[in-house]
Amino acid sequence: MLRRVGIPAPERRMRDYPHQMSGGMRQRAMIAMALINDPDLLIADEPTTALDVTIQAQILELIAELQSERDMGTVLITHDLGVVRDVATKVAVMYAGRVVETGPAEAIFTDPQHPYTIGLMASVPGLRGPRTRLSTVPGIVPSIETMPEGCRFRTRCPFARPRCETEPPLAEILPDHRAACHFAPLEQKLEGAA
Amino acid sequence: MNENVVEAHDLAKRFEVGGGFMKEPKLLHAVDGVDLVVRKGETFAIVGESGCGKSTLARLLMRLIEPTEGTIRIDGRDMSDVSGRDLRALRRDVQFIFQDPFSSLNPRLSVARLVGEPLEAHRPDMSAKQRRAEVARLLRQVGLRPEQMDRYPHEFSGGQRQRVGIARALASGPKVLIGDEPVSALDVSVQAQVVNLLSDLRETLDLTLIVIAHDLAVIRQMSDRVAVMYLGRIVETGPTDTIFETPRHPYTRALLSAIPGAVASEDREGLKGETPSPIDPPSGCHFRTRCPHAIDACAKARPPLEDAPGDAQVACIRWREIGASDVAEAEPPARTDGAKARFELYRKALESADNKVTENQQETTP
Repeated sequence: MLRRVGIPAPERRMRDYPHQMSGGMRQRAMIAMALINDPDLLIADEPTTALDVTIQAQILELIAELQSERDMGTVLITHDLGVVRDVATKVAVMYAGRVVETGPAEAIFTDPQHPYTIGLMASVPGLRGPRTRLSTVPGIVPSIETMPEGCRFRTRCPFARPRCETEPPLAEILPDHRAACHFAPLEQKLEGAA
Repeated sequence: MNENVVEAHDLAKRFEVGGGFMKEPKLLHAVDGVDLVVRKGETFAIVGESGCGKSTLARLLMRLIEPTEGTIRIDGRDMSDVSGRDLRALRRDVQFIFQDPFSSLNPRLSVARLVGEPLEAHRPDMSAKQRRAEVARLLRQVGLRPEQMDRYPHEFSGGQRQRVGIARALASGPKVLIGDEPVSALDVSVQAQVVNLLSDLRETLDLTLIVIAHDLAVIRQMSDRVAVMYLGRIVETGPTDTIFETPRHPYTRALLSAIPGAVASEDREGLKGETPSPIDPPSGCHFRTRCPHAIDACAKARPPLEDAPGDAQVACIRWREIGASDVAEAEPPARTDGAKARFELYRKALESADNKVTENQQETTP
C-alpha cells in the first residue's frame, strides 16, 4: 500500500514516525491509511491545502489515479476553486451551513447562478487576461448569533431584496443544476436588470 | 523615478544546525547569494515554495536577522551593519506585515495600544490625545471604524485583524512595506478585499511593497516584478507579465503549470520528488535533481543569472534550448451568455453601492 501511494523505499519508511517525513509524504501515508480497507467512499477534507503547489499537483494526481483503479467515490472538501476545476465532476457550493448551488462541475464554472458563487469566482485573481481590480464579496460571514433569517447570504449580497427574508428553496434552474436564490437566473428575474 | 529603494548584493544567510562537543555544526544555506533591486513605488514579489528562503530574505531586508554575507542598501544607505539610531530609522522606513493575523497581534492589547505602540517608539513627542487621533486616522485609512479602537483582537475577524496589522505597520510612516504572505491566511472573498486595500494604500501613500507569497495568482494580481526562489537562490526574475507569459526557468515553468486549473492536464510539467534539504544542497544548479532538462554540466557550476528577452533574468545554462513557454494553457471556463450577464450585474451592483467605501467599511463586527 505504501508503495502504491508513492512512498519511496516503503520497507524502510514503514518504521519511520510522522515527524521524520515531509508534508507530502505524510499526506501519502494518510491516503494509504484511508485506503487500506478498500473503502467505497473517500472523504478528503482540504487534502492539499497545507502543501506546496508542486507537491499538491502530485497528491491530486495520486488521488485521481487511485479513484479510477478502485471504483471509489471521492468527496473532496476544499476552498480552492482551481482544485475543484481540476478534479471535480459534481460540485456543491456551501455558504454558512447551507448548500447554495449544486450541479455538474462544468455547469458551475460556465454558468454559475447563485450570487455567492459569482462573487467567489470574481474574487479569485486570474492567471491570464488583463489584471483589473478584483471584485469582492463585501463583508464577512455572519456569526451564528447574527445569522440572518431567510437567505443567509442576503447581508452580503449586492442584489438583496425584501423577498430574500424568506428562505429560498434549492430549486432546479437548469436540468441537474440547482441554486438557492429567488432571483436565479439573475439576468432574467431581477427587476430592472435586462 | 526608477530610483532604487532596496538594493541587496550577494546577500547570504547561513544558520548553524546540530553540532556540539567536538562536532562541527552543519550549515543550512537559507539564503545563498541573492542580488535584488526594488524600485521606488513598485510592488516586488518574491515567490517560491516552503523552505526556499523567501521569509529569511524578507527578514534580512528588515534586519530582523543579520546577514552572514553581502550588503543591503535602503534608499542608498548601507544598512548591512547599522545599529542604534540608524537601525531605528530603518525600522521606521521599512515595516512588516505578518502572515498570521491570529498570532501576530498581542491578544491582551487593545487596537488603540497595538496601533499606538509604534507611534510611542517613533514619535515620542506625541501626546496621548494626539496619538489617539492618529490611531483613528490610521484605522480609517485601512477601512476600520475608529470607534472600534478600544476593542481587542479576538473581537475582530481575520480580515479585520489583518487590517489592524496593516494599520500598525503604517503607523511609523514607512516607505517600504514588506508583507510575508499577507493574505494567505484569509478566505478568498476577504483576501480580495485586502489585496485591493494594499494596492490602494500603495498609491495613496506612495509606498513600495515587497510581497512574499506562494500563491501565484495573488502575485500576478499584485506585483509589477517577480523573483522566483528555489533553495535559497533566485532562479528567475523579471516583470510579472514576462514571467507569467514566457517563463523560462524549468522550475518557474513547473511551478506555473502545477497551479490547479492552470494548464491542460496532459501538458502538466509534473515535478518528481521534493525539494532537497538546504543543509546539503545539490552541487551546481540546486534544481537539477528535479529538473527534467538536467545534464551533466548542471552539476558543475552554479548557473549565473543571464539576461533574457522581456527584461528577465534566468539562472539556467539551458534556457535558450528550452525556449519560452510552450505549455498549452487550459481554456478558461467559457462562460455562457447568461453567466457573463450575471458577472456584469454583480460588478455593477457592487460599484453602485460605491464599492470602494463599502468594501472597506461593511465589515461590521458581530
